[in-house]
Amino acid sequence: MEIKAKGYLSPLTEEAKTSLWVYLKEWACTTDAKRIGIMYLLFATFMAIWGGILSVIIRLELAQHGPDLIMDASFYNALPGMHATAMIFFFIIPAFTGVANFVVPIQIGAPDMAFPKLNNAAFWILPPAAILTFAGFFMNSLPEFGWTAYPPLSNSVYSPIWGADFWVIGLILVGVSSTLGAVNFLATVFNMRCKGMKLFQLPLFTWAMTVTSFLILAATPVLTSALLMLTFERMFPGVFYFFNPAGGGDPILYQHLFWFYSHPAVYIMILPGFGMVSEVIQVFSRKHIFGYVLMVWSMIAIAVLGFLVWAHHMFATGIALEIRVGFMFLTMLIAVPTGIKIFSWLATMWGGSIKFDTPMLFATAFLGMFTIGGLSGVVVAAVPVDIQLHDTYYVVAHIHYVLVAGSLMTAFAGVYFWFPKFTGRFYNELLGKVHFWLTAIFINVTFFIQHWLGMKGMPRRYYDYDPSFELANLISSVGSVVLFLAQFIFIANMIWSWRNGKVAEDNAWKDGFTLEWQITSPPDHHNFHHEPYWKPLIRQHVGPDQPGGLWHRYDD
Amino acid sequence: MASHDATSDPNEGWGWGFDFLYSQYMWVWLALLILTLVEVVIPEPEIIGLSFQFSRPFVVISLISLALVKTWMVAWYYMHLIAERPSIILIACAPFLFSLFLTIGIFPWNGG
Amino acid sequence: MASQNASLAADSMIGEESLGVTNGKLGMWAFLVMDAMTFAGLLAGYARLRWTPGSDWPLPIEAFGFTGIQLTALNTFILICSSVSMVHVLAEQMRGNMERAKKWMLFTIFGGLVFLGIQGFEWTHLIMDMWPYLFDEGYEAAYSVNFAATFFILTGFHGMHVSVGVIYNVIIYLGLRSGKITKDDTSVVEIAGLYWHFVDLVWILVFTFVYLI
Repeated sequence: MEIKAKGYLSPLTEEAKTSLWVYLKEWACTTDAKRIGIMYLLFATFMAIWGGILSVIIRLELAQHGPDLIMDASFYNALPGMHATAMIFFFIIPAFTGVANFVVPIQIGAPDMAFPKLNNAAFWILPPAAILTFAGFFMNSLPEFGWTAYPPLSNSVYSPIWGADFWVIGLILVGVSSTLGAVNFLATVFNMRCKGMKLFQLPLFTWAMTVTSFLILAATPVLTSALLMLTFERMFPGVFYFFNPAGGGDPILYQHLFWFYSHPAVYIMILPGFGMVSEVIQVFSRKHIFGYVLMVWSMIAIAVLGFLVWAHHMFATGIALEIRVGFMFLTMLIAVPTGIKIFSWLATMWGGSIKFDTPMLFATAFLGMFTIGGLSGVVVAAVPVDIQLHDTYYVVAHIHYVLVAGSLMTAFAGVYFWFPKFTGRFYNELLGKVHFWLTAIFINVTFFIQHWLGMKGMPRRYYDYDPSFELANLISSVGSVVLFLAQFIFIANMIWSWRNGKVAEDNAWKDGFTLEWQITSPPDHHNFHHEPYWKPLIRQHVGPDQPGGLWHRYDD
Repeated sequence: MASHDATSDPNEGWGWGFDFLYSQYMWVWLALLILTLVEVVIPEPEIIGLSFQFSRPFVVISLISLALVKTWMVAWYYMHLIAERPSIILIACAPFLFSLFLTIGIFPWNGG
Repeated sequence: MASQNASLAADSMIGEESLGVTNGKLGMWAFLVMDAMTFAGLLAGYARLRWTPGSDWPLPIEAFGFTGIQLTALNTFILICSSVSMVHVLAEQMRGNMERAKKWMLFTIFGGLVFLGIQGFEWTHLIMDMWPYLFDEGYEAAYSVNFAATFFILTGFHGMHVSVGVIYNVIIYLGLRSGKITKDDTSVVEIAGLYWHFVDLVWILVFTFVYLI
C-alpha cells in the first residue's frame, strides 16, 4: 500500500512510502516530538479505555446491592486501585505529556525538543511499565491494596503476591518516564525559545507545562524513594521494617512520603489542563487572556503551595492536631490562586465575542464543574468535616469532579482544539457537540449523587453496601455506563475525521495568535520553514482602548 | 567556570607538585578536608586527646551546619554555581527548599 | 567565559532566547533536582524513623565503632579527592593539555573504584560481624533493625550512584583517549563533572547524618 500523508505524518524515506511496516518502524524510532506526542496520545487512549472498562465493572457490580456481577470479592477489591492506576499514571499524565510534546516546541518557536532521543526513550518506558503494572491480571495475583498501597496492607505479610511487586516496579518506571519527560520540557522551554519569546511572553499552556515539569521533578522522586523502601521491605522480610510497626517501622511514614508526591500529582494532572483552557478561551472569546502575569504567578503559587498541603490526606491517621490545623490552613489557601484563575477566565470571556465550538463548550463546562470539585475540596479540607467524610463516597465524588470534570474535560478541549493542527483536518462538529453534551450531563449524573452517598456514610472501595443506598447507586451506575459509551463517539469522530474531515487551513480557528497557528496544518518535520520570530504582546492589563487592554480584540 | 582564573594562567608548564595550590579549587579542596576532620572530631573529641564530650545539641547543630557549608562549597565552586546565572542557581536551590518542606513536615515533632 | 560561549555556539539546538547555558547542562541540573529529591525522600524517612520516641536507635559512633568511623572518614576523603581531580580534568582540558586531562580522569575513576571497594569491605564486615541476624534467625538484633535497614538503603543508593558515575567517567575517559572529546568539548566533561560532584555532595550529607550525628 502507498502511504499518503502531509507534513510530519509523511514518510521520511522512499521505502517507508510503500511499506506500512517500514513506516511504522519509522514512527517507533522517531525523535520528532510531534510524532512522539501522537504516540503518547494513542497510548493514553488505549489506557483510558482500559481504565474505563475497569470503572464500568466496578459500577455494574455496585448497581445493585449484594454480590451479582463479580462473585469473588477479592477480585473486586483489586479493581478500584487498578482503575486509579490506569487513569492517573497511564492516561491523564501521558495524555497531557502527549499534547505538550506536540504543542510546546512549536509554541516557543523551536524545531524540536531539547533531547529528542531521550524523548523517545521516555515514551517507550511506558508500555513495559503498563504491562508490569497490570501483570497481576495475567497471573491471577492482583494487588488489593488500592492505588495508595498503604503498608502494612501492601507488605509481604498481607500481600504476598508477585502481582504487587510488579505493580510497584511498574509505578517506579512510570515515575522515571515522567521525570525524564519533565527534564526534557524544562530544558526545551528554558533554552530553545525563539527571538522575542521572553519568559513572560510564553503562551499559558507552555507556562503550565513548565510549572508542571517542576512539580514532576520535585515530587515524583519522593514517590520513587517510598516505593523503593516498600520494595525492599517486601523483598527482604525480616531485614527491612521501614513501614512495619512489628520491627519498629512507621506506616505513617509511607503515607507522608506517598502524599508528598501524590498531592502535587493532582496539580500535575490539572495544571496542563488549566493551560489548555487558557488557550481555548482566548481563541474562542477572541480576546487575550485577562491578567496574564497574575495567571502565571497563581500557577506558580499553586505549585509551591501544593508542596505544603500533603498531610490533609492524613487527617484521620491521628497525626498531631497542630500539624493538622496548619495543613488545613494551607490547603484552604490554595483556593485563592485557583479562584484568581477562575475569575481571570471569566474576565477573559467577559465582553468577548464568543464562539461556542466544541473546545469552547468543554472549556466553559470545565469552569463550572471544576468549581464544584474545588468547593467540595474546601469542604473536606476542614479537619472536623474530613474526619466524618474520610474514605466515603464524598471523597470519590470530589476527586472525580476534579479529575473527570477537570483533567478529562480540559484534555478533550485541548484535543479538539489542536486536532486541526495534529491532522490538518477538522473533526466533525456535530459529533463533537453530541459527545460534549453526553459527557457533561452524564458526568453529573454519575458523580453528583455520590456526594449524597458520602454524606450518608457509604464507604468507598467496598464490595457491598447498605440496601438503602441502592437507588442512588443505580443512578450513578447508569450514568457511568452512558458516560463510558459516549466516549466512543469521540474516538469514532477522531478516526473518521483523520481521513475524511474538512481540510483545515493554517490558522484553523482564524483567531489563533500563538506560533502553532502560523505554520502549516499539519506541521512539517521541523515545524518552521523560516526562523520564527515572536512579536511581543502587551501582557499587562492596560487601559481599555490600548492594544492588549480589556476591550482589545484580536481581530481589531 | 571553576578555572576562570586558571585559563588565563601563563604558567603553562607546571608539574604535579604544589604549584596547583595556586588555583582556587585547591583551596576549596583543602577546606573540605579540614572541615571533614573537624566533623570527625566533634562527636569524638578523644581522637585528638581531648578528655571532654561536647553536649548533644551542640554536636547535632554544628555537624549539620558543617555539612551544609561543605555542600555549599561543592555546589558553589566545583559545580560552578559561582559562575552561573541566577536562574541556574535558583534551579539548584529548589531541591533544598522542597526537601526542607519534606523534612520539617515529616519529622516526628510530638512523638509522631 | 570565552570557551563557554564557543561551546554554546557549537550547540546548534539552542534558541535565541535561552538561559545562556547548553541544553545538556540545563538537563543535567534538572536531573540533579530530581535525584536530590529522591535522596531527600530517603533522608527524611531516616530522620522520622530515627527520632520517633522509643525507636531504640543506637548512637552511630558506638554502633560502628571507632575504626568504622575512621574508615568512612577516609572514604569521604577519597571521594573529595576524586571530586577535585574531576575539576582538574576540566581545567586541563580548557588549557588544552589533553594528556594531563586523561591522567586526572584516570585518577578520578580510580578514586571512585577505591571508594566502592572500601564500601564493599565495610558492608561485608557489617553484615558478617555486626548484624548476623540479617541472615541467621538464631541471632537477635541488639538495637532497632531499622538502623541497619536505613544504613543499607542510604549507602546502597548512594553506592549505586557512585557506580553509575564510575561508568560515566570511564565513557568520558574512552572519549578522551580516542580523541572524540577534544579540547573544545568542555561541556561534555563539565556535565559529567556536575554529576560526579553531586555524588560527592550527597555523600557529605549521608556521611554526616548516618555516621556522625
